[in-house]
Parts: sequence; C-alpha cells; structure tokens
Amino acid sequence: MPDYEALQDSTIQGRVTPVVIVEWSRLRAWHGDTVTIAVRTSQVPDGSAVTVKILTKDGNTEVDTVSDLSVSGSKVDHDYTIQWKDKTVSADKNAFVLKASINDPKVDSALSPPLMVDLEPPVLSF
Amino acid sequence: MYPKTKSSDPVVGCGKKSEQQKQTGDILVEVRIYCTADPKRKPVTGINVELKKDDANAGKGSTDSKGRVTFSGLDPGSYSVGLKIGPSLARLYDVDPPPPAQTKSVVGNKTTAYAFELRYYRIAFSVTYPDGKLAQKVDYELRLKKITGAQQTLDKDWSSYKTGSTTAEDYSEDYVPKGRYQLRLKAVSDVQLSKPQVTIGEAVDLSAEATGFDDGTAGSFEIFDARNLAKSMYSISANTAANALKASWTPDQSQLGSLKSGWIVAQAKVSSAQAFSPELKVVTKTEYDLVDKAGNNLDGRLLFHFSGGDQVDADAAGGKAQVLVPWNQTLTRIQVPDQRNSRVELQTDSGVQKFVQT
Repeated sequence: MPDYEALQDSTIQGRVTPVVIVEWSRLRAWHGDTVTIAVRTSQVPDGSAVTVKILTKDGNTEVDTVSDLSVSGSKVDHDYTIQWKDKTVSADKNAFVLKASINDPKVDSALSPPLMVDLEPPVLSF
Repeated sequence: MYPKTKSSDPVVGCGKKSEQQKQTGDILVEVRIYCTADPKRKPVTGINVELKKDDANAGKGSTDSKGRVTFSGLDPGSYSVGLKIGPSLARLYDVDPPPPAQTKSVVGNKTTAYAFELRYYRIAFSVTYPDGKLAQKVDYELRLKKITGAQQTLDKDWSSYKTGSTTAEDYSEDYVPKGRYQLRLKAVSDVQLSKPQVTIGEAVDLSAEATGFDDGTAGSFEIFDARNLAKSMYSISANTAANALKASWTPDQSQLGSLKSGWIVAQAKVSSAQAFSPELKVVTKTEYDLVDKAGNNLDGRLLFHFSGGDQVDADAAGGKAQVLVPWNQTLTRIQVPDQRNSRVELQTDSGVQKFVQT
C-alpha cells in the first residue's frame, strides 16, 4: 500500500482493500456436531454485517446460509450446528466449504478449505 | 464706508475662517482572504492595520466583520498602510514573506482605498474502498514538509502533522501550512511466507506490507492452527522497516505442540492493524530406510501414503528416502508406482524403521 503525497490545496486520494477469510474449526465432523465458523477481516470496520454461505466443495450448491453476523475486533466466531436433515444435500457430497461476504465494504472471501461431514452412519462389515 | 469684497477675493488674515476651509481625506482599508481551493474572497476580522505618515505612526486599527477599517480626517499627504500579523495569525495565512505595505496619496474630500489579500491553504483527503465508498476507521498519519521563506524552501524531513482515524466524511482542513503533505494509512497487508509449506527445523521467512508506521515500530507474527483462529500457538516479534514487517522463523515441534489440523496461518500485527497469510501445510522431514526382498537398498521413485489421505512422492537412493511427512500423520503404505503388485512394508523386527519391498 503506497503513501500518498500532494502539495497544499489538493485532495489526496487514499485507498484500502478490505480482506475477509473464513475457516471451519475442524477438518471433519459428524452430522449433528457443532463446529465453529471463524471469520477474520482486515480493513473492515467493526459492526459490518457478514453472511456466510455453506457450499458443496465445488462451490456450486448452497447448503445453508448464516446471516446476521457482525464483525467485532476484526473477527467473527460463530458456533454452527450441522443440522441438514431439512436441506437438500446430495448423498455423494461429503466435503463442504464456506464463503463469507460483506456488503459494506463490498468484499467476498475465497472458498475455505473443506470440512468433511459424515452425513450417514458408517456401514460396517463383519 | 467699507469697501465691498468680492466673493472671489482671497481671504487672508482670518485664522478661524482659514481652519473652516481646510480639507481632509479618509482612508478605507479592506483585508480579504482566499484560497486556491476556495477562490471567493472573504472579509476577515481582527487583522491589525498600521498607518504611517513620513515613517511616523499616524494611526492603527483592526478590521471589522466586513474586513474593513477606516481612518478619517487625515491631512492630505502620502500615507503608508501595512498589516501587522502576529504569530497566531501567521499560522493561518501565507505571510512568509509578509505582504508589503502600500503607500498612496491622500487628498482632501476623498476616500482612498487600500486593499490587501491574504492567502490561506487547505489540505483534504479521502480514503476509499475499491468500490468507491469511504473507508471508515482507518488509522492514518498526515505528514508535512513545509515550504518556507522567500526562496520557497521545502523542509528536508517529514514531520507529523495530524493523526487520527477516518470517519464517514472526507477530511478537509483550512489554514494549513504551505508544503507537501503525505497521507500514510496504517495498514498491514499481503502476509507471505517464503516457502509453500512449513518444514519443522527449516527456516522460513515471513513478510508483510506494513505501511504508515515509523521504522522500528514493534509488531509480531502470530502463528495459528488454521482450524483454531481463536488462540495463537506461537508469536514471533518483529519491527517495521521500509514499510514492511519481516522475520525469520525456524519452527520446532514444541512451538506447534497444539497444532491439530496440520495447517497453519500467520497473522502479521502492528498496533491494531493486522492481516492473515494463506494457509500453509506443516511437514516433518523424515528419512526412511528401504530395502528389497533380497535386502538390497532400494532406489527409485516411491509414493508414500499417509493416514490423513495425503500422498507424497519421494525418490529413494541408496536405500534411503527423505519424505516430507504431513504433520501428525502416520505412514500407512508405500507404493512402487511402476510395479503394480509391489509394495513396501514396514519391518519392525530390528526396532529401526525399515521398509522392505515385497
């Protein structure tokens, strides 16, 4: 980020780029578990509203949306319980990623690393 | 009988009548201010004005709300009018050098005007996001190199003029010194590690852009488990220099003792500004001994499979292979890529990790 200079009687135009990242708190979870969705921001004022979408790993299918989150101290830690019985989740999907979005200032995170979710009990053979 | 006098006769010898006919003049002094950014001339109150005749004080006054001061009943002659600018006003207006005194002739029954203009300066800045909206609560420092003197000399070094945090409105300030202004936004960004993954026992360089801070400002790199951003596992101190925060770090097992996910992120922090790096995988360099069924040392490309599902390629040479083992993962099997039915099994009889191709 550069320093901005000008003589008197000028208006200096400075610019900042907001950044948001989002992570699951675990690598793997069972359906019904509570995990933490961790959002971290830079150059985003406290009080900014955050929406987090839970997507299949390919990013194409939305499973759930968590809204009404608010940045405080450049972060949000939200406990989320995986209750997707009422959601439409393809049986062959077991990796889920997060995407955080802030409207003001406008910034979207990259897709998070995946959380592996075991949606069904394991089938054991004896 | 008395002789008649004509109205045109000169009147002499009557002092009273001579004084009644003496003609005096007035002086109207007007002082206005302006700025390049706001060129409309505006009156200014409270500017002290000095009047001189033949280098002797002939009066003084102060401008009113219309920027004016009047001197009345002046004998005709040459009068000099100058502004007397004290230190408090000198801070507001460009009076370096001061405006020169004006000398004019004052004649009877007339008002002679003296006009002065004082220039002042303004500085403004706005900080926006890429979408053009104003960025609030961004810490900044406005620095200044003054321009002074008849030669208009620019200061050599920056001095701090103002610090603060941006608000919902653009910043603008009138009556600022003439000079070059620098806006420094206190921000940390672009946190990077010099290697694509972190290897235990090997040094890695950490860097971040850190603008708006004086060189030597204390900062740190906080190392987090990428799946636990609530608490830093390890902290590395660093100082800012040339708009950057840099440190070298050689990770060891004890520093990352609470790492569970096998991935870390680094947070660069200076004051209240901070930013995160991308995720990096943590690996441990491990050497394996490998022999074939006949006990000969194994050579060639091998594929190592680990408990977390990771697969790592490594070349064996002279029966040894150095493998970057993912953090907290155990070796599950070794595959010989070109020999479909061949695998390498762990031999534990000797108590030493040795893998034998079967």
